[in-house]
Amino acid sequence: MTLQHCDRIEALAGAIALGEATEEERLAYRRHIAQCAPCLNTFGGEREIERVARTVADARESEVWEPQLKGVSTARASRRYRWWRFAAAGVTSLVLAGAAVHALVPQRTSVPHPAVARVMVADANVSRERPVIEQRTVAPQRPAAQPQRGLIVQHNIVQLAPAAAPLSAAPVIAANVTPAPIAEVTVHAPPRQNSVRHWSSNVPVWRRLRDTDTWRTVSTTTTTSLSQSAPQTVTHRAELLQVFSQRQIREAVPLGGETAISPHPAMIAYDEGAQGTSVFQVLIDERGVPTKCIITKGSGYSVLDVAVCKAAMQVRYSPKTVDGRAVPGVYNDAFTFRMTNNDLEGIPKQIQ
Amino acid sequence: MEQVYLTAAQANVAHARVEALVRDHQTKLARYVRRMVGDADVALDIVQDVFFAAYRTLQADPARPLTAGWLYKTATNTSISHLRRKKILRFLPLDRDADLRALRIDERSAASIDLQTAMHRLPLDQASAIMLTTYAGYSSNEAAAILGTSPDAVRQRVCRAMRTLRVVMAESA
Repeated sequence: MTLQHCDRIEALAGAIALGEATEEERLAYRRHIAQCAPCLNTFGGEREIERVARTVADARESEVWEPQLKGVSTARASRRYRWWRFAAAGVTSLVLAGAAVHALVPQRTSVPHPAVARVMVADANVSRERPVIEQRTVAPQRPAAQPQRGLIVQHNIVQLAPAAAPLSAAPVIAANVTPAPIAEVTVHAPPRQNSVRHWSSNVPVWRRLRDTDTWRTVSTTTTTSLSQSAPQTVTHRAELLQVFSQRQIREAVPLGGETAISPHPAMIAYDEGAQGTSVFQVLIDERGVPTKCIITKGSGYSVLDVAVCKAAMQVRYSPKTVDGRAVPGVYNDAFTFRMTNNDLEGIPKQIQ
Repeated sequence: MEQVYLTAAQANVAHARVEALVRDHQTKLARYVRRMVGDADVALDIVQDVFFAAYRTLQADPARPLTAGWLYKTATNTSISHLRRKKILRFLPLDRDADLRALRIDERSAASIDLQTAMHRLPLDQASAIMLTTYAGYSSNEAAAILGTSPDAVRQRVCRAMRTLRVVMAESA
């Protein structure tokens, strides 16, 4: 995103604040902040802009000051134009000396022109007769506390587990037996005909239910709620891969166990109600260091995707091993973010 | 100052028009200027100057169309001139209640205090843009005509002023 675009975005945000933005302009703004995290953090989303603009309207509506210009001349003479008092005496003497022209020429003194003064007096009388509504509140009035919004993070875990086969069926590698052909198994290549979707997620969950398979894949989902103010902790189980095969292949998993990858979206995600599923892929070298994070399916909010990838790149991994030898590998995972209020049901755990 | 001598009829027209302007706009204009300069007494001074300027203008040409926009333009320019003179004082926060001096006790809501605090931090062009649009109720086109700039520039200034206001709101929350 070029700087020129971001300059244009300021005008769009201003139009939204003034309520002058057309639907096309709002759409353009929405598209821009979905791709430009700095602009989203700087200007906020549409709701944030309108909330700030509402503050100005609230301040205007809270005004009760009824200025009375009648008193201005006195205060002004006593404070800023004290020397005019002496001049006013001379001017008054001239006025009394009596030229009618003087009445028509406005004098820059503390005494307002008769026409203006007459209006001011009349207005002051009206103000005195007007009922005054007393609103005495010394302490600043804060709006009532909004129900705290939480962010639920669902960690979709692809787990590859051995089939329910008896242990005796495990192949025994003998020196004089030729090993069977090795079946390469990858986690992210599910058979299409068996894929289903989990009720709460967009991530396909796939199973192979036939007992004859040498391996099966199940998916489990752990859910964590993040509160806006509390420290955030994500509990999940790491990907586990056990292949019942003659070649011992162990996929890359994050070190540190269940709380290794813990995305912390920026606070703007709460304000904007950002929700969606970020599916990502981390490339891991043979030392266990993540080299690249790829969002294979974006959530629609860059702030969520950035948080997920940032968390994934901060974790060390145990590298993929084939027969005990470390090789570059890939780690696939997904997080689902869902907004909720605290008073709603379905929050598994509130983190304090 | 060049003195203009009017006939009685012309003077009556000027008087009547100034009367109408004062009656209709003195409250809104004084509140607007008070937000700009942050002091109620100074605001009343400036508003009076504005009405005198209107009177002088109508004295010279009683038929001249003088609208509320003219009053706001004059008030904005006078406020900016005042703030430029007082610029050094604005950046010396000797009195911590300086921001609240412009407000009455019953006006000190959170939104009101936040707005006044932000107004003291804003550059003059942004302050006048946000006050003319969101406070005085002008559209960006009208505010651009008053400020002598383009509507997009007004929107940009409003956006930047909102950023400052947002920071102030976050600090006070």
